[in-house]
Amino acid sequence: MLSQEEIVKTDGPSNGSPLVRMESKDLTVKYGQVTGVKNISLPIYNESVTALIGPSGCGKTTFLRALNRMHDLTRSAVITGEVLLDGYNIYGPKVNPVTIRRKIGMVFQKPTPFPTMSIFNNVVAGLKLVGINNRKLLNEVCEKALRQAALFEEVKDRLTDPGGSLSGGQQQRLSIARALAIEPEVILMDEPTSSLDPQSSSKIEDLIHELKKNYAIVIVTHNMQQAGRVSDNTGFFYLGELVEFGETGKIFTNPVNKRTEEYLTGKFG
Amino acid sequence: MQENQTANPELKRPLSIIYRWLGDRIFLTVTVALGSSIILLALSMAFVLYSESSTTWQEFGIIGFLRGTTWDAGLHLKFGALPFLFGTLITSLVSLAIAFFPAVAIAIFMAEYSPRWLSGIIENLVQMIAAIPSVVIGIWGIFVFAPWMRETFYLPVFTWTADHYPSLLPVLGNPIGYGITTATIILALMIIPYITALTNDAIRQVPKEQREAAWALGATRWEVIRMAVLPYARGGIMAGAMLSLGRAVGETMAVAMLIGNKNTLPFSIIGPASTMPSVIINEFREAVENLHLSSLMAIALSLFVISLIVNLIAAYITRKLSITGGQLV
Amino acid sequence: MRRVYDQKSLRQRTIWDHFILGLLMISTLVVMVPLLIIVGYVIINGAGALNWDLFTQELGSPARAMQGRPTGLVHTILGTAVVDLLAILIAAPLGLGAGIMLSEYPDHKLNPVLRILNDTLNGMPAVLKGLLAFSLVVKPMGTFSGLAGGVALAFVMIPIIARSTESALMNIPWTIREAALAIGLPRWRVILSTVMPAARTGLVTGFLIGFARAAGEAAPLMFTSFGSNYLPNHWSNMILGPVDTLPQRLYSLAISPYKEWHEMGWAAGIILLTFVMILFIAARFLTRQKIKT
Repeated sequence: MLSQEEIVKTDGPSNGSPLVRMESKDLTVKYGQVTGVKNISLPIYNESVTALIGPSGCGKTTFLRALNRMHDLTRSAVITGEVLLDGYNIYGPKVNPVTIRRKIGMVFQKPTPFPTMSIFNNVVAGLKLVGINNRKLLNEVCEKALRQAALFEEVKDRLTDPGGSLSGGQQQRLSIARALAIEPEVILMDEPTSSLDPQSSSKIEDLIHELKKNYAIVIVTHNMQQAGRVSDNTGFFYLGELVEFGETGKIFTNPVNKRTEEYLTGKFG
Repeated sequence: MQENQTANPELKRPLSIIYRWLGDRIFLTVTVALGSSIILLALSMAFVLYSESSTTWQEFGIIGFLRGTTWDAGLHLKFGALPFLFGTLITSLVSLAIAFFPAVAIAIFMAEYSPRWLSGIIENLVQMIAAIPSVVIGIWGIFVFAPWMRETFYLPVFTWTADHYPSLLPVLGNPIGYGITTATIILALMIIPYITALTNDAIRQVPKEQREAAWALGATRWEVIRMAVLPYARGGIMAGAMLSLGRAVGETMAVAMLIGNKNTLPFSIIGPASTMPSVIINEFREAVENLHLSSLMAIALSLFVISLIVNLIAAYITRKLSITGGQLV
Repeated sequence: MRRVYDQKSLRQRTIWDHFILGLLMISTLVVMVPLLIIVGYVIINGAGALNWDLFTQELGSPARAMQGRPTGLVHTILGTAVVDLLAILIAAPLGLGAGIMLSEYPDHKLNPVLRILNDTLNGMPAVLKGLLAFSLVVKPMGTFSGLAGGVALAFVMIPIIARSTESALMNIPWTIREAALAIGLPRWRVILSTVMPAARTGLVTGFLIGFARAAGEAAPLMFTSFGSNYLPNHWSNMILGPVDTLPQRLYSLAISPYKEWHEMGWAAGIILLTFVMILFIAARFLTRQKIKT
C-alpha cells in the first residue's frame, strides 16, 4: 500500500481558465469490505480535459463513477468524503442524484444507443424525460448536439433509423450527442474509444478537443498516448490511490513519483 | 478405477479397434436412435390425431366441423367444434389480458425495485406457485373460490339485474358459481407465475450498460425502466406472453373442474361454458360411439394446431425482436 | 449557452416514480396474496383430512365412505409410484439420448429438426399426450393400464429432460472433452465417463424438474391409467391393468357428489402437493448448489 506521503501533488493547470469546476475531497469508495478508491482529492478545471490513467483495477473508473453518483446504483457501495460541483457537495443530504446526473453527463466504454429508438429520439431522450415535446425545439437541439458530436452530416438523412443501425464509432458519437443534448456542465468519459477502431478513435479525440472549449471533461483511458494527446491535466491512479496529479506535459516528461515513471515507461501496467 | 486404465493408451492398444471404432459407432447409433424417436414422437402425435379423427372430417368436412354449433352425442350424433373453439379462445385471451400487466408488474418490481432479499423470496414463491399441480388449484376452485364468487358477486349482480334489467339476464347467465368467468380468473392466476418468470428472464438479459446510459441522462428509476429496460426486453416479454397464452389454451384440469361444462352456444357472462381440453376430459372416458370418439380426436387435433401456431408465433417473436449487442436483429 | 428549461419539475417526476412503485407493490400483493391463500387452504383443509386409514386402506365404493367404514388411498399412492416410476424409466433414456445428441454431436444433421420438434412437443397440452398414449398403447393392448399411464407421463417428461440434459452438458467446457480426447479416450468414453459425471448435478436437476411437472399432471392419465377404486389382486395388474393415480383420483373425488369423498379430495391434494413440492425444492436446492461450486 502507498502511504499518504507518497502522494505528490503539483500545481494548477497550464492553460485555460483556472476556475475549478469540480473538486473531490478525501473521496473514498468501498464495496462492502473492499476499498475501491481511497482518500482522493483532485480538482477538475473548467474548459480543460482531465485524464485519469493507471493500470487496470487501479480505481480510475471507480473514481469517475463517483463523480456523478453512479455508485448509487450499486447497492453495496459506500462513499465517504465530498465531491463539490461549483462549490456544492453533490453527496449532500438534500441533493437528488437525478439532478446531479443532468449536470454531469457521462459517456461509457461501450457505445450505448437505445437500440429500439430512432437516432433522433436517442439524441433527445434526455429532453423528452423532462417533458419537452416542442418539435421545433427538439429538432434544433438534436441538430446542434449532432453537429457538436460531428455526426450530423453522416446521419442527417436517416434520423428515423434505429440507433442500433449505426456503426460502432457512429454509435459512440451518438452517445456523446445524447449526453450533450441535455447541456451538462461536466462530461465524464469512461474509456470512450476502447471499443472503437483507430479511425473512429481519432474522430472522438478531435471531438474532445472541440468540446473542451465549452465543458469540463474528465476522461478515463488506458491508452497513455491518448491521455498525452487530449488532456491538459493528468492524474495517475495506482492501487486505489491518486499517486500523482498535475499538468499533463510535466507528468509525461518529468514525473515526480517513481511509480508514475515506471508506468509511463511501460515497466508495468 | 476404469478411467485410469483406459487413460493410458498403451494399456488398451490391443482393444483399440473394437473399443474405439466400434464403441463410437454403437454409441452414436444408440444416441441418434433415442434422439430421433423424439422426432418420431412429435410427428406421430400429428399423424395419430389426424388418423383417429378422420371419420369426423369425412362426415362433417373441416369447415363444417369447425363452424358447427351443435354437439349432440345422444340422439342425433351431430358434432361441431365452434362452442369449444369459442370457449378456449375467450378464456385464454381474457385470462392473458387480466394476467399480463400484474405479472409484468411483479417482474419489474422484483428485478428493479425490491431489495435483493425480497426479490429472492418473491422469485422462489413465483416458481413454487408455478409448480402447483392444476388439479390442486382446481379443488380449491371447486370448494372455495366458486362458492365465494357466487355469494359475493354473482348472486348480488344477478338479483340487481333481475330487478332493473330483466331482459339482460340471458346475457348474464346463471349464477351457479361454476362458469366462464370463474374459470377465466383461475386461469389468469395460473398463468401469472409463467409470465412473471419469463418477463424476469427477459429483464435480466438487459445489459447493465443500457440501464446506466439512462441513469446518466438523469432519468428516475421508472424512467430508466421505461426508456432502457422495457424496450430492450420487449421481445422476451411478448414471447413470454405468447407462451403463457399457449399454457392457457392447453390448461385442462382446473378449467374442466370450474367452467361448468355446457356444450351449447350461446355462452353467457357468468354462466357455464366449455373449452376444447375440458370437453375432451369430460367426454372421452365415457364416449362409446365411434363418431363421438373421432370428433373428440378432431377437437384434439384443432387444439394441437392452435398450440402449434401459438408456439411458432412465440418462437418468431423471440427471433424477430431479440436484441443483441445493441443492434436490432 | 442557452439552457433548455424543463417542462416537468423534478418533483413531479419523483412523485410519478413513487406512484409507479406503489402501483407495482400493490400489483405484487394483489397477486401473491390469493396465490398464497390457495396454498394455505390446501394445507389447512388437507391436513385436517389426513388420517391413518388413508395410507392403509383402499377406496372401495362410495357407500363405504358414507357408512363410515375404513377407506383410504393406499392403492392410489402405490399406483402413483408405479406409474411415475414407469414414466421416468421410459423418459430417461430418450431424453438423455436426445440431450447427448444435441450437445455432443452438434453437427448432426437431424439436430435442428430435433430441437424444433422437441420444443413443439414441450409446448403441447398434456391432454394431447394422454390421447397419443391412448392411441399408441391402450388401443393395441385393449385395456387401460399403468403402462399406458407411464407412457403418457413420459411424453410430458421427455422434452423437459432432453432440453435440460442438453444445457447441463453444454455447461461443461469443451476443453474438458479435448483434454480427455487428447489422452486417447474414444469419444463415447469421454462422454460417459468425463462429461456426464461432471454434469451430473445439472442432469439430476433436469430429471427432478421433469418429474415434478409430470407428477402433478392429471389430464394425460384420465384415459390411459384410467383409475380404479381397489388394489389390484396381483402387482402386475398395476402395470397391465387400470390403476389409480393421485392427480386423477383427486379430480374424481372432487367432482363426485359425496361429501366424504370431498374430504378425501383435500387429503389427496395435500399428499400430491407435498410430493411435487419435495421434488421441486430438491431441484431448486441442487440448482443453487451448482451455482455455488
